[in-house]
Amino acid sequence: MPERSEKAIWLRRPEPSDRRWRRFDLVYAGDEFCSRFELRLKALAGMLELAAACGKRLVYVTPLETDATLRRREEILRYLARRHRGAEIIVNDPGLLRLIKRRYDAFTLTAGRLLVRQLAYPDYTIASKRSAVRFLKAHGINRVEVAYRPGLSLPSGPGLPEISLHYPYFPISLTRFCPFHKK
Amino acid sequence: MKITAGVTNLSEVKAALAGGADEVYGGVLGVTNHRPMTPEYSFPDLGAFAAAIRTAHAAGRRIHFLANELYDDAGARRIAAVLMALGRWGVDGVLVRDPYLILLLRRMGFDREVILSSLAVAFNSEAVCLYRDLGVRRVVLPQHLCPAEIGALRRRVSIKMEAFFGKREYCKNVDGLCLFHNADTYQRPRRSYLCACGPGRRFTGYPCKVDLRRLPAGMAAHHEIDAYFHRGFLDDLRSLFRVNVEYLKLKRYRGTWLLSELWLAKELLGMLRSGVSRRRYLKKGTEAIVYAREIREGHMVAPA
Repeated sequence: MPERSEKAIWLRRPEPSDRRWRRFDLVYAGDEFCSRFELRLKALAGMLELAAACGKRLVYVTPLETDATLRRREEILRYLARRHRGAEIIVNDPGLLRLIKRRYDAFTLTAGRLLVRQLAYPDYTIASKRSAVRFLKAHGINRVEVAYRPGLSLPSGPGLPEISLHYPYFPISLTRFCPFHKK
Repeated sequence: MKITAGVTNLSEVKAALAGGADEVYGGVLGVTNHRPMTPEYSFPDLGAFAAAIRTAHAAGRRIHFLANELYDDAGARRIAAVLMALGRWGVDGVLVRDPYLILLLRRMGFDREVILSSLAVAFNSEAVCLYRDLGVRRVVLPQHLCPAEIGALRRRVSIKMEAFFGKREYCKNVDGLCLFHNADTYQRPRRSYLCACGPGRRFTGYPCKVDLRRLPAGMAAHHEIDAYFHRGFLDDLRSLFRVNVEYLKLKRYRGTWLLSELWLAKELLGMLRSGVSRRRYLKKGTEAIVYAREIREGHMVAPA
């Protein structure tokens, strides 16, 4: 284990009165799995201000994208590039990764669990798969996310990406089918 | 639109070519692909695949090799060497998903078609472009893109596209990201699950196969449900045809399934090429689906 690990919590709609803010170093906002459940720009802007006021880092999480959701995502990216340079984004879609590389140089990027699963199987081998690490570094990514499982051992050292561990659950499957979606 | 069919042995290659497939594809035991490494899903060895290459070429058709898994770096180098050898033997293309393997093939001067597997989960034009930049020349679109999204992709990216044979190939889980990925091999249903799609309808098998599609209110009779899903399937295929998707992909069917699906695909594409109205296409298409079921169950044979 590194000397000090940062702890993060995932909050859908953090409120100023929410005491959980205080106990964590980072706050994740957004959704990793559903492109329909997305943060509006206004909500994200409010959360960023709140995070800054509390002295916390807010991480914006993005899901797999279609062309339609990618266009909406660009609106948020433009805002972040203009107002919050260096904002941290978790990328799960290779298309979004290419888009950010082509048009924005303002962000700190992390490979989310779904992107990692598209590069290495099992996902926790990502840190020791040099070609994948090179691919990610070429796209400006120095941190990867993997899911916890019992007995997991992760390599660390110079040249290897930083690792974030999701605990205690890990995703088994993913679908675009949604019984709650209204057209 | 050309038909590409999955095969697992030489007799299936011959059956698929005789049945009207323009291309066939398959994998080999020992070269990991995304399905179980068993004789039911793959050619026994590279020698058998070489014979399949000769058979396909003798019939004037194309054949592709399946290596659509993620590999560690040493594994990718080993697979790349195998693919180079297959290229020398005349294979027309390879289906891959590992970015490093794609890059390796480009560096090694692989001169055959590199096809991006649907397992790479390229849901948008930027993702397709990312793989195109690596050296991919054709992309198999994920099953979960709806025809409208495929149309948008088609307009934005210039690359050859291949789509699955409609909802007949459909699993609601995104294959490349799903740990139930061998669901097709589940032979013995362990439990039955009540299905949300209609009274009395049950599906057997694993939870990942539970059918949760919603139906319009009031639809209960089985023939109504069948007709509803047939219409959706037929309309999807029509949309793919209209946006000029170049290839129609049939997964690895066996025996009468292979023949019936090939016949159905050919029949429906024939209707679309002849420019029939939507109404007539839906009517005739539904009849063709019923006939294909008869072929599959051995009550009928596919007309020549």
